Order: sequence, then structure tokens, then C-alpha cells
Amino acid sequence: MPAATDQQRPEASETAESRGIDLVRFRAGGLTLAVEAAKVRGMRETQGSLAPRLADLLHIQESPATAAPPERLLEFAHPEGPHSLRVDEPVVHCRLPASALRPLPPLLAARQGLACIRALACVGQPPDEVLIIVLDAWRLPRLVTSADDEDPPDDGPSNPPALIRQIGD
Amino acid sequence: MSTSSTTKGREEDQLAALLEQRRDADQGILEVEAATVKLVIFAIDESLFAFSGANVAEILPLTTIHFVPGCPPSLEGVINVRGDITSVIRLGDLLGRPHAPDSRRAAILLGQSRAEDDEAPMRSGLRVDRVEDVLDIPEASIRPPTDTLPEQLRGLATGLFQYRGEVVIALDLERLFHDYRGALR
Repeated sequence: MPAATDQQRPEASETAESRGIDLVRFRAGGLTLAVEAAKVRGMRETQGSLAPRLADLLHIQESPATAAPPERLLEFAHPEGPHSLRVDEPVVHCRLPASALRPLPPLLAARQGLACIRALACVGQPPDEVLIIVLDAWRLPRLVTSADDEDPPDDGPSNPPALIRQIGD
Repeated sequence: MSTSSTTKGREEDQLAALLEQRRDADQGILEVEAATVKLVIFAIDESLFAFSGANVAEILPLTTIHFVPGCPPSLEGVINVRGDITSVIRLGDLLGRPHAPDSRRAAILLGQSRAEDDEAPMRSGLRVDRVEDVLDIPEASIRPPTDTLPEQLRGLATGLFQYRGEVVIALDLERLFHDYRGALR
């Protein structure tokens, strides 16, 4: 492929600047998270779902003082088959400009234990600034024994699944 | 008249002599000028530490630190520095010193290591309880670290010096980042 000429570069730069990514943004455990919209199949009510909570899979400790927000069920497309997770409202579709996306800082990338965390973005101005943690839906931790979105059993609570793995590891 | 001109001539001589002395004195000062190193002195609780000024890009006031899941407790989160997202390390946790409760004097040192091989320079915020001073210290006044330092400080300490009657431990930020990246701290 021939190298870009000087005359082509400004156009390429403008294209890159105008690029962005469609995300589905939601809350979990008091944090603002997002996944690529292309990897989300849909959203449903959580009624009757045994799907795990994303906040639990990411080990996010929530403040007990705050009331639990309403939940939604997000269905993710995945090469191993679709799966669902419960997340907190609001769940919104948004477009993030490429210039707002930041890779993980090097020390954080080296010590961070969740392979699903891919990028960060700060939106808004202090003191109302919000950090969006961009996840890779294909590398989300997943309960190996999870029934994902099976019908609830007729009697009694189900045993909590113990084993968690990260898809894609 | 002749007495006056004689007196004036003596004054000129005195001035010339004084200027000569001054010139000699200045040269003397230049000859004994000691090599200095710029240091940023900061506190964690009541303990004083220092980083080389060359490794501290900026001193920031304590701002909102955003939590990121999956990080060790010593990695407090990230901050937004004019659009650049930077990690923040609880430095006290790495040095075995408890942090004081948050106060208006708390600060974040924006530490920066030199570029290594093909890698870009590493940057991270380091939470400290307060910044004491930024000053030039004669290199000769820095003594080698002693064997009695706590284990967490061995390997990190590059020297000890006195500041306002207290001992300050100079730290190697390059080593700190290297060890932290390799999960050695």
C-alpha cells in the first residue's frame, strides 16, 4: 500500500477526528459503563431472569446507603452464544467521538485484573465530570454454570454459582 | 586644592581596591559552588520523602479520583488532567506508611519516568498528604541510605538528607514505577 502523501494527510486526520463509536451506556454498582452497541442484541425487563448482575461479576462494592436502582437485562451477542447480564438504569445508546476515547494508563493496564476493561473516557466538566469505563462485551466475566436467562425454578432460591471466568482469556 | 585632589585620588584607589576585592570574592564563590539537585519534598502522614524534580511533571491539587474496578487497593483510580486520563497510586500503601485523612493540603504528584527502550515514558499520579517544598539541595548533603530502613523502602531509597531538622528519604521514582508495573510492590 502506498504511503499517504502530505496532501492526503489532512483529509485522513479529519476523517479520524470525525470517527466515533456507538455505545450502549449504563450504570452498574454506581459506576458508568459502556459496551459497543454492535455487540448488544437487545434489552429486556429483568422480571423472572436469573442472569447475573454485572456489578457482582466485576466485584464492584456498592454503597449500602443508596437505594437499588431499577435494573434492565442486556443481551449480548457472543461467538459462544448470546448471554445476558443485569445492569442498572439508565441504559442509553450514545455515540462517543474517537477523540474522547483513551487507552488504559500503563500502570493501570499492567495491574488491572479485569480483561474486559478496554478504554476510558471522561465526559462533562468538573464537578459534573463522568468517567465512562468502556468494556469489551466479548471478554466480560461470565458465570460458567450460569443459566443466563433461563426461567426461574418453581421452588426456592437457586444455589449461587461459584465459578467465574472471563470470556476470551 | 592640591589636598583635595590628593584625597580624591586616595578614594579612587580605595574604590579600585574594593572592586578588586569584590571580583576576587566572586571568583572564590564560583570556585566553591557545589553541584545541586532539585527535589520535591512531600509528606505521607508525618514522614518526609522526596522525588527528583526531574521526575515530577506537575503538582496537582487533590481532585476527583474515579474508581476503576479490578485494580489493587493501592491503585486508587484515575484522574482527568486536561483531557489526559492518568492513574493515581496511593503512595503510602507502597511505602508502608498510612495516609493521613484527606485535607486541603493533600496533593497528587504527576510522576513521569524516562522513556525505556522502545516504550514511551510512564506517567502516573501519586497521592501524597502534603507537599512541603521544592528546592535545590547540594548533592554533598545527601547521605547514602542506611541498612536500618524498613523493608518497603530498601531498593527505593537513594539517599537521606536533613530538612528543617527532620530526615527526608529521597526515593527513586523510576524504580518505583518499574516495580509497580511488574507487581513487585
